[in-house]
Formats: sequence, structure tokens, C-alpha cells
Amino acid sequence: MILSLIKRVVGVCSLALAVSLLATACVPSTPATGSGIGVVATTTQIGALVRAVAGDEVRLTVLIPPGAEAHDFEPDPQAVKRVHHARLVLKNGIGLDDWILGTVENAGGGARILVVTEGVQILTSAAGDEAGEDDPHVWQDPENVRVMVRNIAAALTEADPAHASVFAAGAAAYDARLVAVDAEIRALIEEIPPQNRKMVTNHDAFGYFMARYGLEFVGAVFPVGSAGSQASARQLAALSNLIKAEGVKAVFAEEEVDPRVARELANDTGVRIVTGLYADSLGPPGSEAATIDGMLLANARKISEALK
Amino acid sequence: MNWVTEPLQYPFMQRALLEMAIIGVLCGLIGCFVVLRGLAFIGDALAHAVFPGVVLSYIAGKSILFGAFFFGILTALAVGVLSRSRRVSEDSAIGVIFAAFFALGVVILSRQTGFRRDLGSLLFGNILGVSATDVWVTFAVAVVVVGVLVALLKEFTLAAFDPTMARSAGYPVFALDLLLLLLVAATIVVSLQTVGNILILALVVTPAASARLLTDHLGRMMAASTAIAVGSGVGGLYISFHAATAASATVVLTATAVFLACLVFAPNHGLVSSYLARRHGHHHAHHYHAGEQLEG
Repeated sequence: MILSLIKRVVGVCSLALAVSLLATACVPSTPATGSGIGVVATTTQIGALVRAVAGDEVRLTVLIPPGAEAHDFEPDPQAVKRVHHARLVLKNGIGLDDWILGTVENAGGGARILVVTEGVQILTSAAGDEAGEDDPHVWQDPENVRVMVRNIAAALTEADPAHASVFAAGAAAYDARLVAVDAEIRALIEEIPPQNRKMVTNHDAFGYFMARYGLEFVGAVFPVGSAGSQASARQLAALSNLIKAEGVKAVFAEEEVDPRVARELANDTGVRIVTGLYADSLGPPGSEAATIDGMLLANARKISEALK
Repeated sequence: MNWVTEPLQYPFMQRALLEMAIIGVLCGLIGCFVVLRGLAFIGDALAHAVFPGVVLSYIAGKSILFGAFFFGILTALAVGVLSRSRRVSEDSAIGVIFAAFFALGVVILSRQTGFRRDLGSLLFGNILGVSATDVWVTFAVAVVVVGVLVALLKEFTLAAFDPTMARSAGYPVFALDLLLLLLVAATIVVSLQTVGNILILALVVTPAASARLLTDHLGRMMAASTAIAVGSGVGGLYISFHAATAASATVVLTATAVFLACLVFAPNHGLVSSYLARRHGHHHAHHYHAGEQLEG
């Protein structure tokens, strides 16, 4: 009796442990590309910006693969090795990727760590348990991304002055691209009648996007900002009342979060469900959302199409 | 708004309550055999061993029922066959197989680098995301499982409690055992998506274990177990709605509270009545005998 109880407890613990390990350690980081000084980026967004600024003139490793959870990521041994050899480690900050500090310390090698969101106007989350906490999803506003590009170009130039002109040209080109994308997104959002500019999302990850383009955040299906928590029935009921009262046109489910609850909520309230928005991560290489400008435009098209 | 009627105006709560009630009947009935035959360990093993099936269905974007049921059947068959060997005891067979299958699930998952969405709903279920189709599928599976169980109730009972007599009476005991395992597997798989891998066992075992404390009669035990399972499922959902807590865990804790109440206050086997009986010098030798139950 006691023995089988122990067996069961061990079984449950090992299951939970194995899955939490899976969610972190087992996902291999993307192999390094390019040649030049070693640069490590934590997030897919920072990786894409380094590529935009430096082309193939740095040896870039992006630690978090597309679609993986950023908060509790743990790099594999190969990635730690590359952190050891890196000259520069670029992190998002705002509570998203603080685990990299431990990784750099363990790896040794003395890479310089730079928070690329330095100088960005940080907003607080609007919904759930993280309400009032700083929102790390700064890349959802092209104006913030321009700041990140400037920070990255400055850090690369300092680390590798020989390629200063390459970095300056890359940064200028991408800056222009972001200005153009900003105008395109604005035009897409203009197509939505003003009374329809309201969003319900799976988790609260589009605060910066909504603030920039004048969209109203009505609510999120999942109570906390990070993925993987359970929706509560009480709060889901309140949200379904809000959707009806506010005349919300669509529920948006991000690529990273299970869309089932959002889908049923949309069905019950008779509104559209839109899946495949990119919130926490860029898309896989080769997809339209593999770059920040592509991701922002893809999201804006889906939002505009659904709310028009 | 009324405590009882307020949640009912939301379709997602209607589906969740309906799903919970169906699962309550299913788990309550099957749970009696799991508890009386000491199958709790294999029940837990089944819940874990279907993991690769869940992962594969998840990756393929299909309902987890297909993959989970395939691996559930495979596990039940493998345990049944392996434990026929004299050298491999049943619990060893279960240990070997469920760890192996779970490891297989982990390996498959570790090869996936793309968007996996969150694993939370695999582990803890998603009762609030249950669709109308899910409810119909659960209902159909419940009808089949309960139908088989009721049709073969006498055979199952005899094979479970007096296999020697059952064998001499010409019953295919091994096949009946295997069939019972398959029914347990079907119950666990169909309940998985509502409460998840980790908590499912509580729905199968806890109501039946509570009922076992209340009565010695199999028929009454099945009725009580079903009532407790449905009651804690529906009650737990109501509590989770009003207290804004995670649904599946609240259901499990509600069932646990019922179990503890039975443990203390049950008329014959409860702690209070045992204590009183001892004080009055009655030796309450009440043992469970399947033979008696059949006639009773």
C-alpha cells in the first residue's frame, strides 16, 4: 500500500520533472551561422535584428528556437560552448531572459552582456496576475524595434570596429524598412472602423502593438502573461460577457498557446477565431514571420482582416 | 444571480458540467473494479503510458483520443501478456512498460523543435476548452464501456474475486481480465483531455475508495461511487467557477474531501464508528467476500 503510494508519487514527480525539462533543455538551439566575431542572441527577435544589421559578418547563435518558451529556457551544452566563445551576448531584459546571466557566468569567456531594449519606453501588462508588471513584448511596436536596432548596431561597432560601415549600412536600411512597415500597419488598421478596434487575445502580449495603433485591449483568455497556465471559469465567464457587451469582433489566438479554450469562447459568443498570430516568438526560418517586419505585417493583416 | 444558475448561462460551463457528469458515471463504475481488484497502479501506469499517443496526436493536430487509445490498448495488452510469465510479476510488468512508453513519448517530443503550444493542457487537461464534439465522443465511449461492464457484470465479478471458481466454471478468466483492462484504458483515455495525465487517477480511484468505506455490497458500492464521482465533478466545477480556481484540481480536491469525510464518518468502516464499536466491545469482523455479494 505504502510502497505503491511511493511509486505513484515518484511517478507523478518524474512526469512533471520530465516535462519541465522538455520544455527547457531538450530543444536544440539553432546552429551558429555567418563568420566574424561570436555573437549570441537570446530571443528570435534579437537574432533577426542582428542578421538585419550585420548580415553574415558576425558568427551568430540564437539560443531560443522559434516557438519555445522564453521565460524558463535552458540552453544545451553546444549553446553554452558558443556563449563561452562569444564576444557579445544580447538579451531582451524586462524579466524575459534573465537566465542568460547564469549561463554567461557558467560558460566563462567574458562576453559583454547588452540589454538591447535600453531606452525603450516600457509599458506595464494590463491583464491577469502580471498586471502592473513590466511587459517584455517590446518588439510589437516598430518604434521600439528602431531603438533596439540602434543599440545592437552600436554594440556590434564597439565589439568589431573593422566592420563599422557594414553595421551602419545594415542598421540604416532596416531602420528605413521599419518606418515603412509602421506606415503600412497604420494603413491596415485605418481600414478597421473605429468602433471595431478592440482585441481579445489568448494572453496579454500585444500591449505595445495596441498602444501604438490605437487598438483597445478588452481581455485575455489566460490569466497570466506567460503561456501554460489554466484559464479560470469565473474569469472566462466575465470575458465572454465583455465580448458581447463591447461588441468585440474576433478572438485572437497566438501561435504559441493552445487555442482550444479561445476557439470555444469564440464559438459561444458568435465571434471569429483568428489563429496564428505571432506574440512571443518569430516564425520558423523561411516563413513570412521570420523577421520582425514580416511578423508585424503578418499580424497586422490578420487583425485588420478580422476586425474590418 | 443565483449560485447554481449563474454558471449555467455560459455554454462552456454547460459543456464542462455535462462532460464532468458523463466522466463521473464512467469513472465511478470502472473505479469500483479498479479499487476492489487493486488496479490503481496499472490505472496510473495507463495514464502515463498513453503519453506518446497524446504527443503524436498533438503533433499531427488530431484529437488526442486516437493516439492515446492506441497506446492504451497496447499497454493493457502488453501488461496482460507479460504478466502471464511466471518470472515477471504483474507490477514489474507494469513498471517496465509504463516507464518505457513514457520515455518514448519524451523522446518523440524532444525531437520536435517547432511550435508546440503549451504543455500545460496535456498535463492538467482543459475542461473549459471542451467542444460539443468532445462531449459526444465521451458520451459514446461511456455508453460502450458501461454497456460492456453491465452486460458482463457477473463474469467480471466472479473472475475478479474468485478466479479459481470462475475457471472451473468455464469462464475465460484471462480474456475477462484483459477486457477489464481495456475498459479501464478507455475510461482513462476519454477522461484525459479534461483533467490531464497527472490528475486522472484521482477521478477513477477516489470516488470508488470512498464508496468502499460506505458499503460492502457491490451494487450499492457502484451506485455510491457513481454518485460521489458525479457529485464531486459537478460540485468541484461550481466551486472552481465561484472561487476562480483551476477547474481540474478543484474537482480532485472536492473528491478528496468526500473521501476524508467517508473515512471519518462512514457508518461501519469509518474511524468514528470503529472507535465506538471498539469501546462497546463489539468485534466488527466485517470482511468483503465476493461470493456473498453476488447472491446479495
